[in-house]
Amino acid sequence: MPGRLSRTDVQAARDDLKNRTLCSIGTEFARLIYLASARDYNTGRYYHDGLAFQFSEEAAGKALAEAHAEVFRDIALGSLENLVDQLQLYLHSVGADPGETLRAWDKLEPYRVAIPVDSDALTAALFSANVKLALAIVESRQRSHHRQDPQSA
Amino acid sequence: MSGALPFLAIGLLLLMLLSVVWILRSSAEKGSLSESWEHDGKSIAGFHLDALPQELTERIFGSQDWDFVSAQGTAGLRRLFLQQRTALALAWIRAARANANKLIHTHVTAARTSSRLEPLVELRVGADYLLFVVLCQLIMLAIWLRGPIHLGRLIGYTDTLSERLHELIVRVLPAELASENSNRQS
Repeated sequence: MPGRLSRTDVQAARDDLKNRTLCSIGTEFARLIYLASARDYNTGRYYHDGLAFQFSEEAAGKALAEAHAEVFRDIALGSLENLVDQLQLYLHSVGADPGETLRAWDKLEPYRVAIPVDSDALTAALFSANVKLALAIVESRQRSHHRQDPQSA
Repeated sequence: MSGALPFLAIGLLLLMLLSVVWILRSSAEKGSLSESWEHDGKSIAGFHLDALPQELTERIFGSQDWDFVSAQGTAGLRRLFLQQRTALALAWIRAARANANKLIHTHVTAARTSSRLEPLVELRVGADYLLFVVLCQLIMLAIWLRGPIHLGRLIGYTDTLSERLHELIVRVLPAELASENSNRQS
């Protein structure tokens, strides 16, 4: 119900989201992509049928937005080393050929849509720069792995 | 030659004072707040400072990521890292200066209508602001010359100075503005 959103509802929705959905997603980077994908890119609103059914559409939307901002902040301000590990795990979990995924990510830059709408410009720029660099590091590791073990290519 | 030194010192002092006056005046003229300040109470309450998070500053200027990239062993990666961090460091400086300008502009606008000005506080604000601007220029030069890594001490000092300026100004701001800006993001 618009205008009747309480902090307790949002917190309960956040706890539910964390305990039922996010904890089953293996890496923080995958959680970021999942939360960004719950957002409608035309309106910037977040949707989750299960959460909206249990709480309210507004509480679910707010819980998703808050969780998205938190996960984004942790990744964007975390170490580059951690991001490289997370990205490597995520790219392998996608299921497609990692080389192909890397090329697509490098060209299409899909990670840009993972940035929450309210994040400050400098943190968003740091995130994009770090993902670009992390992709280059993963690619360089793959190349050296293929050189050492040509049969794995 | 030594007889000219006192005149040179006086000249420098005058130049510094003129710079303070010029910076304070030009900051006050920027933006639209000065127009709305005296006429519209709502605009005053709308002022808010977006401080830069401490973690962001540490991440951009810290050496942890550089150590990791260096250990990867390729010159291309190191070059890419330095290019990116230089751009981010320069953007940080611009954002920090924009924040300080916003703050000083609000202060000057408030001071114009204040009936109880404290000359010593005003002088301190002016001196701190001038030092902050000079430090920002120094950091920009250092970034161009040496890159953004290992500037930790200079950045730390600049950040402390910006915080001091913020606290000093918030202390003398009208109550409605001060309460909105009393909490800096850590």
